[in-house]
Amino acid sequence: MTALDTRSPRPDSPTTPAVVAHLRSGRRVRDRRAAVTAAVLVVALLGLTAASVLLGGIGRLDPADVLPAALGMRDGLADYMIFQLRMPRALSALLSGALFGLAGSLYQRLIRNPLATPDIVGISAGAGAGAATALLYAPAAFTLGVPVAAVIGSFVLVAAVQALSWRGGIDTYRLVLVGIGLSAVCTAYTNYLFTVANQQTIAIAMRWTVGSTSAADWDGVTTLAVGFGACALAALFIGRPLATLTLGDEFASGLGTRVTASRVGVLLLGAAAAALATSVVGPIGFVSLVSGPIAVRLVGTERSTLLAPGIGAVIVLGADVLAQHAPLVSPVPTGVLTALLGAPYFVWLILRRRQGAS
Amino acid sequence: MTHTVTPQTESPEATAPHQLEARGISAGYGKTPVIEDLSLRIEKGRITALVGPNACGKSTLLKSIARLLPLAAGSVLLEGADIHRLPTREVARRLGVLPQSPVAPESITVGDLVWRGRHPHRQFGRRRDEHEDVIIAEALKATGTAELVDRPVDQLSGGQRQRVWIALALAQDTPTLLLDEPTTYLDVAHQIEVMDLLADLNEQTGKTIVLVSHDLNQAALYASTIVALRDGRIIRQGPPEEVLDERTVADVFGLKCVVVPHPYTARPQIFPLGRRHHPQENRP
Repeated sequence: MTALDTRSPRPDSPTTPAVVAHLRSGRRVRDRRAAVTAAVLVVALLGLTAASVLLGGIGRLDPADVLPAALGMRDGLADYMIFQLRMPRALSALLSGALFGLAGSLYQRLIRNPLATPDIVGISAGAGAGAATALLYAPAAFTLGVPVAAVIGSFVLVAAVQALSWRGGIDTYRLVLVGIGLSAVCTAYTNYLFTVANQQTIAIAMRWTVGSTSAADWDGVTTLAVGFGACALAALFIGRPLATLTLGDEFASGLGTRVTASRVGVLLLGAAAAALATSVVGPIGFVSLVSGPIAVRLVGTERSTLLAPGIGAVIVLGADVLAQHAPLVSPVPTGVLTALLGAPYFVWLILRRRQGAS
Repeated sequence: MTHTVTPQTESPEATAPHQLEARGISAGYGKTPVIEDLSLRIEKGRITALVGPNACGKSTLLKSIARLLPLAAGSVLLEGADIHRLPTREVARRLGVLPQSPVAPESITVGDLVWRGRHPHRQFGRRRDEHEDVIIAEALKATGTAELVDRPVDQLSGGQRQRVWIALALAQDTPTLLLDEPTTYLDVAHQIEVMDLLADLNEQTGKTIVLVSHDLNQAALYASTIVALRDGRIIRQGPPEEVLDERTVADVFGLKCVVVPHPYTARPQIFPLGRRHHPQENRP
């Protein structure tokens, strides 16, 4: 390091050790806030998981039987409902929410716009179409076929959205419009598949229209858990290049980031995360849209991607509990509830941007 | 030290280490090249200003030698090595680039933004150490932004923001720094503040600085070498006293002017002569 200390720009300029101490204390404060927020999220998730399992939703169960059954002290119906219905449902909601939250945060930071999330730009719909196709035409490879097909479907959509919205750069409105258009195409295709499928398949595949955790099973939980582990690990690796990409491609390149490789990496990682969640619970809307900005509000943009999965998990799990117990409307698919909560925010974002632009 | 006046004249004794060198480069956007077969040597420890009218290729030239634009032909040498053969991180440890009007992520703090400059020096999995914080602190102090560490960048004034970006480039700690119009959108006091800062850095640390400027007078005041471009070609280059005269300004910008020495530094300063200010022509 070359010394820059001979001429201070201001006479009252602080000394280097003072600035270093200031840097450290600021960082400590923000680290502590992130840690406290993470702890609160974990407590909330534990509480919501307990609520989901205890209150249930599918079938009637005497609450007095729940705890003994959960501890393995009862057999039969209670045991079945706890371990085969309620626990997989709660864990699917939690893990899919975490994947949606991660995917949304990655896209929002890469594209530098809160509107640009996998659900808005059509990636989730592409994953749903892929999953539905696999369910109908590749039943032999059922358990692995669906998530793999969902990831492939999402990658196809990434390529299509990029190809159709690229004009020497990404304009976010064009991206969102192209995404909405392609999303409609994918949903129409998925609906078409339903018309040619048999009744039983339709019942299973319905979750890929609005998104629901009601069909959750342990296979799905395994897919989500492995998927989240892999995606979170990959996100840790790509975090630093992504931090430079948030300054723009030229800046990132100047800082020694391989821009194209990193950009493609983040796009595919976010798509895969959204697709894996979609393959199990369907395209639960608006979770990836709201998780990132909430995380930014709570802990700042620098640490937001670490927190966004926790926010997403709380949202989907909370919405799932609500969907089963909210007065008047329950039971509804979880995706309907997240849309009810998220759509107004989406509209507000668009309106705010319009005002800012004019 | 002799200055080559035209880029084509190759002086055989010019074997001094050039910090950056463009050899017959062509580059542009899409299929039409903006600069073609252009050669330029950037001297070590100097401030070089690229000037010229809009769309003359000065930004394209800067981006090309910063390897932000692919070359259609030719090569760029950084300290004698082909920049496109070096690993991009290695280049980023030797060459910093500040693009024109960069945008900070929403609500990022000054400290976190400047920290990004350490990216090329960091290895995966290594935590930040004492040394890194000292470099950040020095960069903040040098740019007078130490008091702003915890402030969100989007709440700063234009001048403060530009100094923060320069702090980021300083944190990158490279012997060479390229800046694309670092004073655009700033009022005149902040422009001079930024230029003073760059001159200080050049003087105190020997940093080689290359900047694109749209202001001939500032370029003449601060740069030791002026490179004047038009239509993607270098028209003249050399120290301001040799290069900046009425003829060059007319050739490069198509502008009539009077050149007057600066009252304190004697560097040439131009006074444009519009249709209404020309002594030989009648006012309407």
